[in-house]
Amino acid sequence: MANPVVQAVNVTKTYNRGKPNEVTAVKHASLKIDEGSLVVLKGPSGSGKTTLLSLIGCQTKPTRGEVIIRGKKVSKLPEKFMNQHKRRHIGFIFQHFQLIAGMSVLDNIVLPLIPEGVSPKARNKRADRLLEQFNLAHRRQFKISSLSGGEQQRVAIARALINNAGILLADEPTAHLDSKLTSDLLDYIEQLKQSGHTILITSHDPVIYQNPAVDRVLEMKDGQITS
Amino acid sequence: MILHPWILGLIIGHSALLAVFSLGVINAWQIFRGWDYNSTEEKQFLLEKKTYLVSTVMNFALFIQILMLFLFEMAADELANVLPGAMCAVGTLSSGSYGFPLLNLKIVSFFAYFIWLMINYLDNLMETYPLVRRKYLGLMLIYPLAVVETALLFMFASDLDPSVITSCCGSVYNEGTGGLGGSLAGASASFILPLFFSIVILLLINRFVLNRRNTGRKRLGNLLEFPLWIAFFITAIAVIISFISIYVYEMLSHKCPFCFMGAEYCYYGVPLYFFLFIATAAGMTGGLLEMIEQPQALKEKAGFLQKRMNAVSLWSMSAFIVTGFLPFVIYYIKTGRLI
Amino acid sequence: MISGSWFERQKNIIDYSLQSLLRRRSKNILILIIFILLVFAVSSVLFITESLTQEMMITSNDLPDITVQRIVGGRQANVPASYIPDIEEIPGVEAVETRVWGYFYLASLQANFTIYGMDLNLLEEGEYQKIVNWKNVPDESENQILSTRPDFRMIVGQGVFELLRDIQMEKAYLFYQPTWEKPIPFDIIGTFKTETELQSNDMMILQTEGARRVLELPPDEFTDMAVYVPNPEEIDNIALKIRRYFPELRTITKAQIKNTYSSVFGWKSAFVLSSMLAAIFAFLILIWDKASGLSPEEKREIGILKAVGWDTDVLLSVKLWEGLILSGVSSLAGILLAYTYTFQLRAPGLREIFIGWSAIYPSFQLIPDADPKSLLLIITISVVPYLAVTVFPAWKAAITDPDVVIRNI
Repeated sequence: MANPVVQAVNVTKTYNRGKPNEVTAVKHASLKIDEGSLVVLKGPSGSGKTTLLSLIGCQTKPTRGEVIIRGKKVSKLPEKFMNQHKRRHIGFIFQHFQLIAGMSVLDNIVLPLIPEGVSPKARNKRADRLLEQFNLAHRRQFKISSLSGGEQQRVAIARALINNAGILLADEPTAHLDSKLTSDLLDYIEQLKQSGHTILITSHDPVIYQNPAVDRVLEMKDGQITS
Repeated sequence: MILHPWILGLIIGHSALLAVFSLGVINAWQIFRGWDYNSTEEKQFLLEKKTYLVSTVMNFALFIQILMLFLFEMAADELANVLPGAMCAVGTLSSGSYGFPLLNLKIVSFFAYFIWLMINYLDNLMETYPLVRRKYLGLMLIYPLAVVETALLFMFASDLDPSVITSCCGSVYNEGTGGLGGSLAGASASFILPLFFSIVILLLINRFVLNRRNTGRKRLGNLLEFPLWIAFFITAIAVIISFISIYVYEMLSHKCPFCFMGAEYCYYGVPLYFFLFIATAAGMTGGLLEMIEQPQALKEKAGFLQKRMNAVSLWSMSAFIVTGFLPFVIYYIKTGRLI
Repeated sequence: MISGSWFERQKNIIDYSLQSLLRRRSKNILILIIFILLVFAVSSVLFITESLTQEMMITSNDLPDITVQRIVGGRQANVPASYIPDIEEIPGVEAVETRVWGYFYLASLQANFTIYGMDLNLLEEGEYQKIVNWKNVPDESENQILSTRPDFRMIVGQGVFELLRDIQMEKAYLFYQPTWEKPIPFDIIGTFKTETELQSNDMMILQTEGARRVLELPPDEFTDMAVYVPNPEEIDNIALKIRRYFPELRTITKAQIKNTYSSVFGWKSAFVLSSMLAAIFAFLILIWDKASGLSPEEKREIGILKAVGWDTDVLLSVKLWEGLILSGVSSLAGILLAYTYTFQLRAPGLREIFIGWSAIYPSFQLIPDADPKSLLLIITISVVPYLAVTVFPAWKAAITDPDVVIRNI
């Protein structure tokens, strides 16, 4: 049995606590994800799966409970240390890609390396490898705004991989893609799984969670993991 | 009151300093009161974000303070043109009763900010911020310095009177005159030089004998550093006045610790004071770091920082001595005699 | 994960800040322009003050150690020669020189000239020879009349010369006082070179005897006296003694004159600067507003950066570097502009504030001089308040929650 690389223990996340618009997005959720597995978190929108993903992705801190990434309890760490851990272990693909429109493809991909103090030369070397891999080399200096949806998707994946993180989180990656691009994406995800990445995807797209490469499907409803 | 561009510059700089420091201290107070590492309330998350604000503000405050130290000296020098009898910065500073206290306070502030930032840096290396309350308490204790400084600046500026004849460095740093300046200069080189070098030797012994092996005496040695560096700083200033300045100006009667900061002396004083301040600040910090014992992980990190501080202070001290005694050596080689 | 050194990290951050500024050119251009103008205004004032002080310091070295005037009925009166031996006897006094000078108002040109009497023969031979452009030097053969009238010669400042040339009197000027029967011509034998313009511009130096005629000064009286004291430490004492022996005499030491000039210049420049404070203040409010009002686009960008692992302090550094670069570049540009304006264009508009009570006075050379000291002062006045104002908004922006990017939009 492989080690759990990602672990959530009884996590709860409440937004706007003590205010009239208080919302508890995740309630007492626990999960374990083993090294190298591909897990899909499915559920209707508003079920709290994005919030859970963002808790695991060190984007926000839980109100209760613990998130443990590669054996480190990250949820109580000050932001700086949580971020450090995040930069080293987690790659995140956001729902709307979240690329900076005014910047070039290359500059977007290397963003996670800037605060690490990686030199431009080393940065570009790594980026070029990924650009090659995702068939983006010819778009290297293009502005994000001039790319197609599929290309933006690939840039987003490349950015998530630039820091050589072993854990990859993707939030509704197919939400804005047609069937051709969706199947391309699945190919990439399968490749990444084969190269040893641990992957957690939120999706309510059956093409994703019914895919044979998926090891486990977890279902969320009203902030709780039901299966 | 003199309305003068340099006074205006000082007032603007100090207002900025006090403003950002006040912002820092308000947030420091909130953190001090509300900090609870284990809390998962939004409030705690916000307090944690506020620590960044305080750190930035204090870095900025140190930057302004250094700038203000230079600016103050230059302003004093510049204002000497306006005040009767004042030939250089000393004249301006001694024209009212606030000049020298303000300068001394600025020096103390500089060291206080420096030490605080180092402790802050050390604490931020630790995931649990073990010193968080104590350091913010410390910050609140330093804050009055900035307030008093600003008040003194205004008093200093309103006290400057172009119609009152003041004394120049010739009379302030003259053995015949009383006062601290006079007694610092009056402490003749033959008395102050041995004192200065014995402190340097004590520091070196401390570093290379007591501190070398990890014996029980290491702790004592490091604790001694703090008072030793203060003594070093004070005697160094006395040496500058009573010995170094004579050879810079090549005149027995000219004992001024400011005139050589100017272009006429190729800004000789700038590196001299830079090394002196860095050596003292790093040395004092190194000594203080010895007092950190809990928790063990912090103590280790403090040990690393202490080593670096000690190295910096030692090199800067050497640079200070080389810079300071260079004019003497050059004079001696050129003429073959002492002044 | 490869981590670079601290320097590499700072380099990356600065690099990013620069790019970020350039990407938002249109937003920053307004700040840049206003900033440049403000720095330009502040530096021009400082440069002109410093340059004038400098020139004044150089020229005032030639001032007498003590100037002695006689005050009768609260007004300056002529000094009889009888004082000279008494003052010469005071120990420490090296020499007492008498001076003859005054003003001559030329109604037709509405110009006021300073008349100064001295022995021009000394000027022709001594060290001052260099500061005069000699012309019209009387030639024995051709110009008999001139050489026979040595008392009616003069040297004039450049400003005076230009005015006289306009009325075709560049060779000789006809002085006339109402009490005279007819005008007396004074030959212009030279003009002062331009480097001394601040002081010599409105000057007419006449042969002493001629000056007495023009100023209508009796033969054994003088305008005032100059006392020379070799030991600078004794000047104040001797001035005190003179006042004590002769209560009707007033003494002005060289240092007093210097201080007066300095404080007048300093006061004027601080006054102009203070009146600019309102503009600076308004600018700071604009900065605050710009810095705190983040566009959704910027907020999203910061959110993305946070989400890909940037720390709050890195973003804070980016914001502060942006401010430092913006204010640094503007300061530099403003300083260069001010330098050109002050020293190449001779500060039109500003110089009138600083000097000038006579119509032809403000035509002087400003000595190009920018001490690194004043650069530091300008930086303090411009960059420090800018950064101080941006600290809080920068922090506000930097603490944007990455969560925002993930949940919204």
